[in-house]
Amino acid sequence: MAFQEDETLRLYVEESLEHLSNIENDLLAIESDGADINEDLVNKVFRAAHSIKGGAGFMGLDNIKELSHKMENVLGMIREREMIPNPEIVNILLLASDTLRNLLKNVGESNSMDITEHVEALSGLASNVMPAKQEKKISDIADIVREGTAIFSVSRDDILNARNKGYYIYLIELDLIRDLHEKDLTPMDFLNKIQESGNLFDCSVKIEAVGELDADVNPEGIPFTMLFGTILEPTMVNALFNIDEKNIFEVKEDFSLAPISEPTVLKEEISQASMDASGAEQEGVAQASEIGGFQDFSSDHQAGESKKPDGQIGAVAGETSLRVHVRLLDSLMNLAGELVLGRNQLLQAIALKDLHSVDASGQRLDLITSELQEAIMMTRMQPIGNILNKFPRVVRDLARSLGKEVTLSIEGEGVELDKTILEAINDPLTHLVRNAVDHGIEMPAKRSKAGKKTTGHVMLKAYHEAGQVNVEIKDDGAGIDPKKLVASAMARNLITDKQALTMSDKEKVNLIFLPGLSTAEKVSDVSGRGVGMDVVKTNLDKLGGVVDIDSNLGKGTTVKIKLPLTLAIIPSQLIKIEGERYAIPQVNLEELFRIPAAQVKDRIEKVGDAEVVRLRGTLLPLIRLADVIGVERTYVGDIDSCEINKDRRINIADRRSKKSPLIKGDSSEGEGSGELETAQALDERERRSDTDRRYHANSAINIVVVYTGSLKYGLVVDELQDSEEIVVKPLGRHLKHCKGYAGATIMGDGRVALILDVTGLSQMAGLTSMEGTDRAKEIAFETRTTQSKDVQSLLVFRNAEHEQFAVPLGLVERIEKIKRSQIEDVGGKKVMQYRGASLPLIAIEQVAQVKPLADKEDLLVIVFVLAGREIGLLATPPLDAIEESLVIDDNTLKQAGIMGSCIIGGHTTLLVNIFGIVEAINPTWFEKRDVVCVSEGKAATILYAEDSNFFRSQVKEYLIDDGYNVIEAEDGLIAWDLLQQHEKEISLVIADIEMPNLDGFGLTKQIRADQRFSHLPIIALTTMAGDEDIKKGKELGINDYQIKLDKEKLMNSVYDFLRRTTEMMK
Amino acid sequence: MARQKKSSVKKIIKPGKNIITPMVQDIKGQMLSILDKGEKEITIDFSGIEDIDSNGLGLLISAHNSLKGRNGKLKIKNISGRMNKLMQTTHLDKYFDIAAQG
Repeated sequence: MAFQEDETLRLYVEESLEHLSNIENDLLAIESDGADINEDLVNKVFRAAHSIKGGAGFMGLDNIKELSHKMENVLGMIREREMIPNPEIVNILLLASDTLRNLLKNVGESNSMDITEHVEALSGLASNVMPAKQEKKISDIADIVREGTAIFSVSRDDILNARNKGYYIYLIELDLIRDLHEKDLTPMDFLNKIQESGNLFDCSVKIEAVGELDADVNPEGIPFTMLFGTILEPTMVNALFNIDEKNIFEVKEDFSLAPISEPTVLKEEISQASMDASGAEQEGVAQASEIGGFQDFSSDHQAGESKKPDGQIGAVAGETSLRVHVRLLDSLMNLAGELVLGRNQLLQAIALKDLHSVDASGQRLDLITSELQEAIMMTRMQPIGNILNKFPRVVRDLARSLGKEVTLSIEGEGVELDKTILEAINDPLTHLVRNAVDHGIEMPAKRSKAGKKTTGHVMLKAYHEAGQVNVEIKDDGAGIDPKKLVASAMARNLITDKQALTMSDKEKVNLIFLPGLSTAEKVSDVSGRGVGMDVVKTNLDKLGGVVDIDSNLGKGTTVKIKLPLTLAIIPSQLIKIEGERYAIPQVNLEELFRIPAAQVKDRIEKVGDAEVVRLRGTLLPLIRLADVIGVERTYVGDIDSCEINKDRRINIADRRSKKSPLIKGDSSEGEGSGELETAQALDERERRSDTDRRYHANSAINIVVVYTGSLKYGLVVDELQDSEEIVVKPLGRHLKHCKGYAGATIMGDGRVALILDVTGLSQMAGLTSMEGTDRAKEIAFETRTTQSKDVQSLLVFRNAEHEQFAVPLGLVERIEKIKRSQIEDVGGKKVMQYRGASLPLIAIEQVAQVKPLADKEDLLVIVFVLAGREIGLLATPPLDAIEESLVIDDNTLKQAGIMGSCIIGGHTTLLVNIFGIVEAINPTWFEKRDVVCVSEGKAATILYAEDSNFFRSQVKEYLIDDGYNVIEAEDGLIAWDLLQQHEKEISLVIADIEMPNLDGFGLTKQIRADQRFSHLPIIALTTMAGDEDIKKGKELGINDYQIKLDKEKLMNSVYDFLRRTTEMMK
Repeated sequence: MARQKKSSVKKIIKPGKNIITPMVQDIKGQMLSILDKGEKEITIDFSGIEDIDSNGLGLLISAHNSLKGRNGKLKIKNISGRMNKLMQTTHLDKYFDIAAQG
């Protein structure tokens, strides 16, 4: 019978705990309703307390019965409107429910636990008398020992209660004179202040240290020690005191002391250990038959340490039973039945050797298994509300202790996630929510100063998207100052000045995830939020989750987390390297691509000692999987003999040495050294023989593009195979420390495949920064979203092998591929036959001091149309068209034919001034235009509005060259002011469309609306010239549209308009 | 501001307003002169005192320490509820002889 009793008790405890978990939020709702009570809600809580009481009476749990009875009384009074649920009363109820939870969790000892305090507080409420402060019955006292002497004796219950509320207990040593007086705090103010933020259990003044009265000397210090409980984490608690962290100790659960200034690495390790532990547990659950393996994990010393300081907060963590809908169980039962039937059929078919039936039952089993898998997964799915619902209390308590006003709204509680993921995101989420309240939301006074509502708002939102679950934590607080983060990261040498310059704001904000940045400095110095974000990220990475942060300085911060639905079975991509199969989780997979053998050399480049590949205009770092995991690279030499050779090429684009069996034709001629030779070197020496391995289909390169949240890179693999759903099995204890693997799985053929951990791989390969492709992507993204920056379309090409050039794409007419032999030398000038005529060819080095055109067979001709004639510019590949907002330096590298430089894709790129070059070579091409004069000898004045310095100085030069006076303006607003100042002089306006403050359209509107200027011709000079825009511009009164930097057309247009207006005037 | 009231046996100091750093030197002078006379008790009248800063507290503690050395006592009378609570929280009431207001 004992078993039955146990079972009943267990059921009772579970049910009661469930009641309690709802009570908390309901009580908070009751508090916010105030006098205007929601009777249904009160009734609900009342009933919960009532049923806990009922069961307790039956079980003989007297303490639980008494406490719930008292709660019920108070709730009854609230229901009858005899009492208004003010924060005081709700607080007492909340504390009582905390204790009740404690009692239920330790149900065996519940009758011997002390609940007098709560019972009295509640009775006090019921009799409308606030409970009198009463001497505690000291049932169980713990001593806190510092340097060998017990300084405080506290009731274990008090501490336990506080911990259950999510409090950390600290021992703080400070000096009333040094630490308080210098901050103009009186002891009274100080005590009041800290009591608002937590619970002062005890304190003492060390009066012996003060000394006696002395006429000349005042006491130097008054040592003061206190035992203090607060919801603030060890990394944040000093924000309250602002003293030397050496003097703050955390009181651990065994009442020992640990300095909070201890290196944070330790803490990270612990939390990681706990992640490991929960990971192990989850995997253990996924594979229940592997009990042995599971035990292995729990005996692992790391798992043993997984007790976390805030372990108690998450009521979800550590749940051992699960509620499942009966319907789901029914369908499971059904499927199990089907499975048995299927097995019987199969056995019979095998016995009869009836192949047809084997096939049929095989299919049947396949179907049932998938359905079963789905149904089982469903049982593991839990609403995210289970963990989100504890946040109202966390936010309320934290906001109260910090003196802030914060509301929390939760959306999408119903979104379901695998139980293990849910448990694992509990801590990171708590951290993020706390951060939002603590550092995100400002103090009410500061908020109203900034013109915001005094009450801050934090929003938690969960939703499904593309087979993943997104969780957003959004606050409308101060946001993160990217500048401060960058300064802080630079001070720690985490990034260089150069990197900082080229970073986007979003990228700067994402620096917060860099380890070391966040933990070392105090909260206030990096505008908060820095606390342990790297730990949050590491934890989420382990789940295969992705975290992204977006912050708007002064407006708020949004943290977005993407999570897989489940961990036990994941879709993955199988790849093969050196004959072994590996799996890459699909969440990390961005795309697969294959570089044909012939393009390998063009698309793979080497930057420093890293290989990168060009992928749609961005550079993607490459990692060779074989190298990272330490497999020897081989290649099959002679296909017939299947001879396997060791691969000794260093670069991906390298060719085999002549000794290689693949280069048969040359083998006699070879130098015999067998050295590695680079493609470029060989290229110039000889034409490729047919046997060149590069022309074999199997020397194409397969790249898996993977994404780790902060980093995207390409993994070079031998073979791409199917994508498949795999069951994740934990790696054995011995392999636990292999960073590159996330687990293992068993394939259909019974073989083992390791699951790759893409984050681990990138770390092993030393790819950890957030530069490169990521930055390019972000910049591109930013330009697309903000649209405020000047996006330039450029055509990027090479002349000499290593010098990159660019011309504005708008000027390019066509691009032709030619062979060197097509170029003819006629009368000292280069031309080529082209569409039945001869096209003059020019090279950059004819005018500019640059390296000569690379000596290559395949060349490019970029065709421009200038002054009505076609001209071809010689160039060499790789060729790329980019659309980016660039910072152009029109100073350092400027020379004849080169108008400036900028950085594109990590290369310094020279911008070719095609007009300059053509003018220098063929000065007669451009007809000399007269200068249009407003009056005798006085040239016309042009107002030119353009926000890009580069273009402004360039176009100004054109205009001045032609003899005009130019007034320049940096944006539309300045242009408008200048126009009014120089009302009489200006006879033409040239304006960019995209400008800050007042754009070209706005400027046009103002000009057209003003009688004084309505006659002025306006030429828009822009990179943005869609038909829509042109139409809009024309409607507003723009006379002409010119695409940026077609000098001839622009100057002709200027000339025409000026002449027309001056003639009209005359 | 602080006046020293003569009385036959005890010496009473009545600072009259909050004991904060600028007052400390003055009160200390009064205390020392009482001690010089060989008195074993100093009473501080806390009427009108609503706050005390760290130096003020230091003064009281050092006075206590000096008196204790000669088996004397620091007495505080007419303490306000607010001040009394401070003394209780910091457990200084165990060292000083405190009498409430009235």
